[in-house]
Amino acid sequence: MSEANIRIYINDSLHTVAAGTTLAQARARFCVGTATAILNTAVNPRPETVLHEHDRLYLFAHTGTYTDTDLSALMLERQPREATVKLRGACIGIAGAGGLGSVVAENLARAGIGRLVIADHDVVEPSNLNRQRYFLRQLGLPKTAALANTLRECCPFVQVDAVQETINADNCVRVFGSCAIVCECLDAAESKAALVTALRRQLPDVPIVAASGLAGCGSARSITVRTVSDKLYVVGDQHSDSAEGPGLFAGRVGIVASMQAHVIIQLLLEQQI
Amino acid sequence: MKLIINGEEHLFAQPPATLEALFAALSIPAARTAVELNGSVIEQHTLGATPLQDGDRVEIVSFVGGG
Repeated sequence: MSEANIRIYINDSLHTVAAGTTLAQARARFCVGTATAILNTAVNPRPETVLHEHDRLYLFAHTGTYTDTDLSALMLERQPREATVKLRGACIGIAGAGGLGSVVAENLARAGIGRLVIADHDVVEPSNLNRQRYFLRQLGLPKTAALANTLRECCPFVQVDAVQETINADNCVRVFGSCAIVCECLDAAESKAALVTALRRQLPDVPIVAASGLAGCGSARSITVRTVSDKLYVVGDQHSDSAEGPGLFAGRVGIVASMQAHVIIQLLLEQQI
Repeated sequence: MKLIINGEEHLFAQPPATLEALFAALSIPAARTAVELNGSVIEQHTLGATPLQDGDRVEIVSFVGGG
């Protein structure tokens, strides 16, 4: 190859262009009509920006129709590619699909986790809608099936295994045995304690990201990640109990759920928690 | 007796003989906790049969409701 050429990725395909090629020139050559350009995760940098060897350029033409391959790449173009590749190879278990689980599932699906195993026995009820990611049209449906449908609408490349069962010590290995990490998203304190204990004993190498203390309207600053060991993390304020009547609000429950999803992504990307 | 509970040192004038006795002394409901003794996970129904020794490290995760 001539030294006057460089190789860049355009929509994940390797192309050879002349050294000194600008974004505007690449856009004119590789894309017809208007398009959003994303260069190494930056949106629409200046047209005169000069491209470099191994740059990653995505040209998101505003046609409204995409091939599957393009869509998969385009949806995750704001994440570093190395992270996306790691997340795509992961399988995560989610025990419970309520206020925590439905938010954790959406966060992980949007980040491009390859496979989610979601277990819950419940159906969608009106009282869920103040904080759980369901819709009026899904009232009465099993939560796992409803959530799987929602995730297919926003993230069609994520495989979702919907397990319509009450998760407990007897079935947790069968359900979550193939998962790299399990997220505890149950409601009752006794169920949480029993599941975490069972998972830690029966799947000792699988990290668990649990939640405790998310009820009411207390300060968001009181919510932390407690590292019990390198196999058990607990997100929450550790004391706000829904059984004492403070209520459950979308914001605070969602903060805990998003922190659980974040810890899972950190673990998969081998980041310091 | 000295125990390290959730990373903090606790001294007991009346040493709890078992994990169950420790939970009673601390007024912690065992059914809502996940417990590790020196890194080993202990099932709730065996707390009474799990003896404690000076210097043991106990991690207690107390769960509250909500999800």
